[in-house]
Amino acid sequence: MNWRNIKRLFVRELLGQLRDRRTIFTTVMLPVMIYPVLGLVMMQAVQFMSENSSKLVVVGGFQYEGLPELLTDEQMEDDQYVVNESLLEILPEPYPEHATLEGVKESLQQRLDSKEFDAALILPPELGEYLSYLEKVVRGEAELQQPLEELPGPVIVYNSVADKSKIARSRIAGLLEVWEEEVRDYLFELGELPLGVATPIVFEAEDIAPEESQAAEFWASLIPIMLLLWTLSGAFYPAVDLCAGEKERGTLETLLCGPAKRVEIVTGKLLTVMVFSFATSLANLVSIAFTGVFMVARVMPVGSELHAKLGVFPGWSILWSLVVLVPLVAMFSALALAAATFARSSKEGQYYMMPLLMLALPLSMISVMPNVELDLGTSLIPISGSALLLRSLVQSQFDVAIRYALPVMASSAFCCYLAVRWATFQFNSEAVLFRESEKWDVRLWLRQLIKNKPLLPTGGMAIFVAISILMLRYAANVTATAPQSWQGFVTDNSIALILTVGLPAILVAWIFTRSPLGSLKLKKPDGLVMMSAVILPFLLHPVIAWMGVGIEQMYPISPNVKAATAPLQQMMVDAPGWAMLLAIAVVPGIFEELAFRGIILTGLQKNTKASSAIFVSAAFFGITHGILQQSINAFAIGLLLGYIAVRAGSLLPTIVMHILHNGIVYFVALDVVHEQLDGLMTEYEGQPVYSPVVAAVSGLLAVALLFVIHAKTRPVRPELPSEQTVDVE
Amino acid sequence: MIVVDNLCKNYPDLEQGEVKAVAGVSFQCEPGEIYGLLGPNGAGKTTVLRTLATLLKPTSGKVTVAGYDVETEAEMVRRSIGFVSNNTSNYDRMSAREMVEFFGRLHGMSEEELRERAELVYRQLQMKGFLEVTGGKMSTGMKQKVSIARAIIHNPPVLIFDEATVGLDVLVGRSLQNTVLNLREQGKCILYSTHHMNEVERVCDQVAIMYKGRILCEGTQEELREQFDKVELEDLFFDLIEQQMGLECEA
Repeated sequence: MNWRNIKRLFVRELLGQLRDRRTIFTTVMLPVMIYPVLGLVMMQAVQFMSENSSKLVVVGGFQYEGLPELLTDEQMEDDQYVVNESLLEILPEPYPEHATLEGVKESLQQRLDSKEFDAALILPPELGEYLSYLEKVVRGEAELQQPLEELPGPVIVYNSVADKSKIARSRIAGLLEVWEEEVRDYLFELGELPLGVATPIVFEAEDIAPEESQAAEFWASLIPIMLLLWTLSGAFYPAVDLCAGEKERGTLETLLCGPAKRVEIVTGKLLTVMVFSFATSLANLVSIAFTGVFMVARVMPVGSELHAKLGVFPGWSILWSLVVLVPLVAMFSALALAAATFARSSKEGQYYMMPLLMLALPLSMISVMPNVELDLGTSLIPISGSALLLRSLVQSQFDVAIRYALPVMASSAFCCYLAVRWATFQFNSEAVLFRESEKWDVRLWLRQLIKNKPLLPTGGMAIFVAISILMLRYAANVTATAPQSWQGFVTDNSIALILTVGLPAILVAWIFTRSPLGSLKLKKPDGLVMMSAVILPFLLHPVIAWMGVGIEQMYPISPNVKAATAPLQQMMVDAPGWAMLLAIAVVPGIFEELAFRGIILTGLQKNTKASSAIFVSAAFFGITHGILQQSINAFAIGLLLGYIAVRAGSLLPTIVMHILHNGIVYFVALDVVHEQLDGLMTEYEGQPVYSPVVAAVSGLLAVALLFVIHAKTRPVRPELPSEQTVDVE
Repeated sequence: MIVVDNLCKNYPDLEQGEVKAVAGVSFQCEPGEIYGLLGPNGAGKTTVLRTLATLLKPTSGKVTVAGYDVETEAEMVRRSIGFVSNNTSNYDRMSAREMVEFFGRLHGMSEEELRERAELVYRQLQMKGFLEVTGGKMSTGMKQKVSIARAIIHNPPVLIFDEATVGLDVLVGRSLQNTVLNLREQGKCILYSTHHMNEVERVCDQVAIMYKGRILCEGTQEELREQFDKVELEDLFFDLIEQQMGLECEA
């Protein structure tokens, strides 16, 4: 062996790989970036994981003379008991007269089915009688008469298939255990407990879940994830072959110079990928069902330990999941196709499997988390919705599945549409189709960036700024400590925003483009749009406030998040108005606009149509707001601001709108202002909101104004002569 | 039939910044004529032809093919051309017949029409012997014939051959040239790019010599010979290129 040759070969191979920027990206950049991104996704998912309070109904009296109390009056809030650090909300109800225990159970079951509450506790009147009789026995005032085998105990009615109900059950059971212990200690102190009443209160739990779906959870969690992974891999390999593979073999150019439209080619390929993906998942599903029905029964017979742990295999009913697989297959196929189109070779295509998987996995894991159920909110989350729908089908919860099938399909279809748009966009992109394996060198690249600056930012720069902001925000969120005073909040918040959002935008515009002002859209705006920008925030505020209410209905804010933001709310009230306006209106208004409607939107406009650029910039604007509810709100507002920025050809109107909007939100939240607006307000679920009439009228006016803008202006392309730049200094 | 007016195409390049692959090229090609684009590798021939085939968009300039604008009426342009290059391969897992007929159907031909036309094309190109052979098992000559058949199946008025003889042996190369000449007889407008002089001498009516994104000279073979006072096209070509390189060195 000649070590010199080995060294020469080693250096050559290393250089060869280093000059391929995609290798560098996937081996170094991707791992560095993926975890913060995952962290961000997790931060959003925490919303669903965090503990929500359980709603419980207690039927029957539970204050027995002299005995320790199950619930105390101090725990009373409004008309219900709030215990266990607000995790249990208990609504007391009297025991219906002349009702049998069975009758009460039945009516509670029905109400539980309709999700009126998470679980119910029945305290039959006999329990009270029994306890006071027991007390008398202990005191020696009565004789032990009846045999004690059958104790009139509390009954918990719950549904083991619904996670929320199960959690409610364990919470109330915990409470009952404590009470039981207190009662026993009390009796023990009074005198000698008769034999056989070592446990004076024995509660039973009544599970209303149908038998076939009981204890199928293990399978219900496992099967969707297995299927999702197979669906993705079933889509991915054909997609790589159909796109990157065709590029390699030279048949793509043959196809592209043929008569077929790009979108026809993409759709044809998509359908092929779908067939394979569907076939893979179908084969999986049939095989899982077959193995489950014939093998699992043999390996884990009823009564065995494994059977007890893993539960009953759901049986052939899992074949129902085929219905859900269609939208899922479509979405994964479109995603895989879009990623595969981007690859130059099959080898490069394989690299993209990992990030897709990393994206899909946490989203599908949501279905395994306890406490997460299929509802309107979760059904709209891509992948998660499908996974949850799969789960409910595996659990034979057909009523739930049918109710949310449509939202799941709709959200999947929308994602599929976006992915197809992306793939088609790439099929139209010369840079993607005819990428030769160019030599890549960091120094050369940087020198090129500085020496041959473009006039305005490129799409790549826009994405770079957006991802930098995401990373910086993530780092800031993780390292930040809660401010102790309003001064701390004002300075921390402002400095963090300027450093993490404003600075990347300004630096990139300054260093990498020839027209920093144009790149940030700091130009003279269209007069009409500028005027409208002053009026629109006032007209839109009631609508946006209602939107916030709607979002909170769909995705309730967890008590943890509420508790975490409570000190901040107090600080806001304490701080002087000017300071708060600076921190939550002026600074975000200027710097978020410079970034999202400035350099990001302008850069994206260079590579795509204005509408796509607005959509993508709004999506980034949304993701940057860490909490899901805020993200959705910000995304919607981002769409509007993006539209205004494109129509005005300038950032100034959106800065004004942003500052005004945030300012209005702050002012309206103040009690003083709030009282002034009393005539316009009404109450909804205990929260003050604008009356629907006010919202409708102002909303209509806003739409009319937007219509006028739409009719009177044209979208301004950023590359138009920029001699009208405004001097900001 | 083909009108190229001041076509420019720039690429971003890591080392040189913007590269002008095509810098102001203009020419015209009429039906029944073979227009030859002659130039060394990297002259910009492929870029021009890919622009004509709507695979690339011009940075500036106007290009029409069969009366259709390549930017705004790309689909109509693609319906009017047949494009053969050494970058357009055939499917490995498709037989010659399937490949040709697949493209015929994509062009919207009726079954009847397709059968008649395919029969004619197979006869002209002498493809009868290997119609059922799949792409992966074909010889280079067979592949080339399938490519041509695929390009002419819809009987387009315009044909573009981009270095179509690269990698072919003399026999197959000669048969391709015969096919091209035959197509001219049928009144097709043919654009033919190559870096082989003898091919140009054999088939082209009009010749343009391209170098570094520009057309250095243009005319019929006789006109060029007269203008530069050379008998051999090859000498003319070398002289021109050397002259250009000399000019560059001075600059």
